[in-house]
Amino acid sequence: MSDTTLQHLPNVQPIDATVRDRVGSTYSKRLREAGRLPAVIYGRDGDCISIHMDENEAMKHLNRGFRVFRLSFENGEPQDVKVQEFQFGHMGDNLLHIDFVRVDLNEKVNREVPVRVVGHIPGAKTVDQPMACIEIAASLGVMPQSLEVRGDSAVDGIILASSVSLPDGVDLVTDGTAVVAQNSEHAG
Amino acid sequence: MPRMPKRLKFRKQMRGVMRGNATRGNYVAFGEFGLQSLDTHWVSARQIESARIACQHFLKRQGQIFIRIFPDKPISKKPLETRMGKGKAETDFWAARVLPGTILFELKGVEESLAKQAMARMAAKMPVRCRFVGRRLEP
Repeated sequence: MSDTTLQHLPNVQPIDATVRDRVGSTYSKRLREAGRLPAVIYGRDGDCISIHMDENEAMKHLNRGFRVFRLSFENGEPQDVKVQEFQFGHMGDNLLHIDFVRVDLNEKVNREVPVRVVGHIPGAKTVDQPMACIEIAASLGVMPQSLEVRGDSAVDGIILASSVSLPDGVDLVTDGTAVVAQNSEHAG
Repeated sequence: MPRMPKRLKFRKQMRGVMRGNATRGNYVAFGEFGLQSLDTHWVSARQIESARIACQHFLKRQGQIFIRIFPDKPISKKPLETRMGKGKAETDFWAARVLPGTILFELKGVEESLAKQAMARMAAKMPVRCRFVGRRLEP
């Protein structure tokens, strides 16, 4: 478990969870009828724990796009987890079960995120974007879903990967001299 | 042209029994919106083709349609006024087996309101009750 506070981790949402003392399809069904959502936590050399949580609260966060959570228990340390898998009913609209995998929010992970050019590159009629995604390293708690780069940050009609403004705690892994977007007349 | 398999191992099949719900092909996999079956039924190749034409005429070449079911089951039928016996009849039409939850069609590249209207036209050609669905949550 990381000791970072959630104020600096915009991607992490807190959820109250309870450890399941009885597991199996019958007990899971009873939990669902009582408005609870069964789940399991595994990974990172920890034990596999069966839990349940409030379905409405979980769905509220999931529908808003959150996939990293800090699960707090009545008696026990909170655990940082991310969603590994969802299990749905046959009609696909009822969430039956969630698999969570433990994560360390202090550890940086590499991920490719899409880059969008905002505005116009000065002097360019059309813009060529050879690199749609750039690789960054960040904690899952601050990992951005996408990045933006201003068109007027171009030098000689070329926007380099180093010109992309990154949030705090995010490092660029892609070569900084790689061309993200350029005036089409420079292309080829 | 209604769809049918290119090659066959056996020309005729037993009718079979359809029980339960769809456990495969029950989520929107390729497009952004889907038409989901709520009933169990055979859907004939002509019905699938009819729905495709209805959708394409409505969308006027916008977006992309994905047909998620394939009529791979030969359904045989004896001609009218024929005495019983003399063996199993020839294939009359081809059908896809559809269970509750099966995604029949998917659409991509169109707005939701337009997709809903197109799906309503497709649903009208289907022998099953259908509903409009979107992509489900992804990890």
